[in-house]
Amino acid sequence: MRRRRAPLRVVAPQSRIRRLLVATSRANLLQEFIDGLLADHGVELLAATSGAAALAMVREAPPAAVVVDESLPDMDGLRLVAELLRVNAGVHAVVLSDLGAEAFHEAAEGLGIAVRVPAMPTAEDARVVLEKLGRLLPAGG
Amino acid sequence: MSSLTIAIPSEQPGGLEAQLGAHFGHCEIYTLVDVEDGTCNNVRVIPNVPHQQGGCMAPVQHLASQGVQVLIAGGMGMRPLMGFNQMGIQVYLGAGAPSIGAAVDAFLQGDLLAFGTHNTCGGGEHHCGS
Repeated sequence: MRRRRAPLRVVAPQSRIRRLLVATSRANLLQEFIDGLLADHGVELLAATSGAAALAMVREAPPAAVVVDESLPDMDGLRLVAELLRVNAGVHAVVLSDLGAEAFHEAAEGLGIAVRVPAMPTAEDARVVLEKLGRLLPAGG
Repeated sequence: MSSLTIAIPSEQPGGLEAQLGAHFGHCEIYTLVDVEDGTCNNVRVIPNVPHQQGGCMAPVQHLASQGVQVLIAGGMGMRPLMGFNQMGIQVYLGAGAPSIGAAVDAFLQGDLLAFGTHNTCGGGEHHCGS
C-alpha cells in the first residue's frame, strides 16, 4: 500500500506556532525533510513553487522563516534570499545547498542565513533547522 | 531644535577618541552620540548583543530600542542593512575615519556617503574577513 504524503499545509493548535514557508518546486523529493519539519506540532508549513510566489507570500504575511531550495524555476535560491531581504529582513532564511563550506560562505556572505542544509535534506536536518530557528525566534514568533 | 542619536560600532573602550569597529555585527560595543542642533551633547557606550549565525537582526533591534536614528559603519552584511532601512535608521559609510569623533564630525558636515548594498559584505566591493 502506498504511503500517503503528509499535507504541505498543516495548522497545529499549539501555542508556539511558527509559520515556515518552503520555497521549492520539488516538494515530492523533500518529503522526509518536510515530514521532519511537521514533526514539530508548533509549525505551520506553507509552500511556494517559485521565487516570485514566495516573495508575494512574504509580502502578504511574513512567515518566521523561509526554507529556500538551491534552485527555483525563476531564480536561484540565494537570489531569492537577497530579494526576500528587500521585502522583510526580519524573516529568517534556511537554504538547501550542496555547495562546499567555503564556496557557500563566499556565495552567501552577508545574507544572514540562519542555517544551510544539504540539497536532499533528511529528517535529522529538519531537526537541526527547527532547533536553530527555536534559538533565533521568540516564542510564538 | 533638531536632535538625533548616532551609533558607531567601536573598538574598546569606545567614546569619541576610539577607533571604529571594523564590522557592525561583530563589535563588542557601540558609541552612541546624541546630537542637538549640530552639536554633540552626550556620549555613551553600550555593549553589543551576542552574535550568532543568522542572528543579524538582534543588534539592529538592539540599536533601534536605544532610539538610534543614524548608524555610521565600516562594514556590514546585506541583511542588517536592509533591516536598518526597513526600521527607518539611516546608515552611512564611515570606513577610513580615524576616530569615532572624526566620523561623527564628517557626518555632521555632510561628508559621509550613504551605505549602499554594493558596500555590504559580499555585495561586490567588500568582503568581510569572517
